[in-house]
Amino acid sequence: MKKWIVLLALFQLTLPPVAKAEDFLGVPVFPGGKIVRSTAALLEMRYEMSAPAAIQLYKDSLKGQPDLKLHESREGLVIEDHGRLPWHKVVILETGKGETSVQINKDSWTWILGTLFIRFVGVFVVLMVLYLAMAFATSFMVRSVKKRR
Amino acid sequence: MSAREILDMLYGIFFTTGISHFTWKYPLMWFIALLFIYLAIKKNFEPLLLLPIGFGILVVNFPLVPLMGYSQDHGELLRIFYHYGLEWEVIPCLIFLGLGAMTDFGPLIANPKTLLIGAGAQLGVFITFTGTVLAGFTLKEAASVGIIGGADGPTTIYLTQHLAPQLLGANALAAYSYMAMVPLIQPPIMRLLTSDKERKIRMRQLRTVSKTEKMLYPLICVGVIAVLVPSVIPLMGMFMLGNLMKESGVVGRLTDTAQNALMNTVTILLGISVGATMEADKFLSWKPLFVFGLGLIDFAVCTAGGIWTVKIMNLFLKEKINPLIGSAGVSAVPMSARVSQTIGQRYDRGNYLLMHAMGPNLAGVIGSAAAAGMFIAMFS
Repeated sequence: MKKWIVLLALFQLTLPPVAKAEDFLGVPVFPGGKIVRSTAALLEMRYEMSAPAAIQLYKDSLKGQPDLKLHESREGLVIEDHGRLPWHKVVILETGKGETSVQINKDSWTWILGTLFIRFVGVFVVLMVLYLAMAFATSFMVRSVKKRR
Repeated sequence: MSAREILDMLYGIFFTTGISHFTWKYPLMWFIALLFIYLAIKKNFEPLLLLPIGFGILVVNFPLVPLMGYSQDHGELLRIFYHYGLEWEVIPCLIFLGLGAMTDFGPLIANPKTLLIGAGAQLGVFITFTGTVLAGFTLKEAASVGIIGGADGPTTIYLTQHLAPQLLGANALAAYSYMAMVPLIQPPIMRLLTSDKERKIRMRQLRTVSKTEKMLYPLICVGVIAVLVPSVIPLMGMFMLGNLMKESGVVGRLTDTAQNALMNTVTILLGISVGATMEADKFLSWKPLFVFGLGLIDFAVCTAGGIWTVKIMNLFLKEKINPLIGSAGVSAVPMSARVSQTIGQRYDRGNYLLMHAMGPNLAGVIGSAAAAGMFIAMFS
């Protein structure tokens, strides 16, 4: 019986709505974590659980949000919001020793302006590469025409 | 038959007419439609597009018309055009094929520096993005609204369909409307940002470009775009295919079809499909109206971006570029190049800027496609 109660309790902990997790900027903050950093724009927590378990937990709890972008890597997962949610990203990383770090960042104008600037520069780079390719092709052709003459 | 039965029958007939479903929104949309048709016919503003767009707006804004809905498990006429043409992104790519077959890249090849103006003119795209996010749009919606300033209809449709299909009608309409209004929007900005001395700068005549160079250009361009911004290769690939067909001279029949029959067919389908998206219930809300308003600012900043880029380039160049051709960095081909020519000649009758302005104008097409590619990459 005890085993079943413990299993049920654990099961409930993994279900965000049942576990009644608190939230930071609308992102659920699951109980049992240690606060590493906490400001108005950032919350970093450490959990004694594996990264895949934490990732699954956040994937489930954020399911149904329409404008999320997920970047998965070997170290963990970055969930980015491209909609109008008050948070910008959740970074879930394996820190080793069976611990996982979860960092929730507020919606960031620095990120928006930064990415826009980089992409604007990117347009210049594309056209600059095209310019160089054209300049190279033209000079090559001019030389070959001269040689033929 | 009793009087009651006759009255019921008449009542039934009345309910199948549009009269019983009439609301105040319809006359408002008719006004917008008739304005477009008026601008096309009377003012000759992009008539090839504004006329079918205007008609599309008019015809869908009657109650109960079976045009944009679904009946008996299939789409109605304009829904089919819209679905296969725009939602499947076929029309923008075919338009680019036709445009490529009509384009002479000579001025751009002769003065490749002007490619940078096409990049600078995308400034508004990125600035509008910020404004749109501030107004409460999602990032994807903001990107699709921002691209309007690039003044490239097919690119706007392509990007919007990728990122925010719910804004397709409003964005396409804004893009084509502002393209049509280039002669009205750009001149005041050009005058404001340039001095009298700058407007009179004469540029050296462009060198002659060989046929081989012209054939090589689409191949180089498609290679560079495919490597750096692969997401827009459906558009740019078709554009360069059209151009290669034209420049090679060996597929005259195909070039002719792409330039004329195909382009005309696709333009009709595009115009009426875009217009048909403007049903009163969808259009008369704050978002599409906001998009329409913001598009104007976007377009103005893109024009300014092109001019400022030329001014910055002039700081480093021995042979100065006339900043009036900077406004042609938005890709409304060839209208914005013509505007540069007209304004230039107003200050110096002997100054022929048209061919010089074609360089940034074509660079604008590539620049706006590159910007679209950057946005698609950001969200994919």
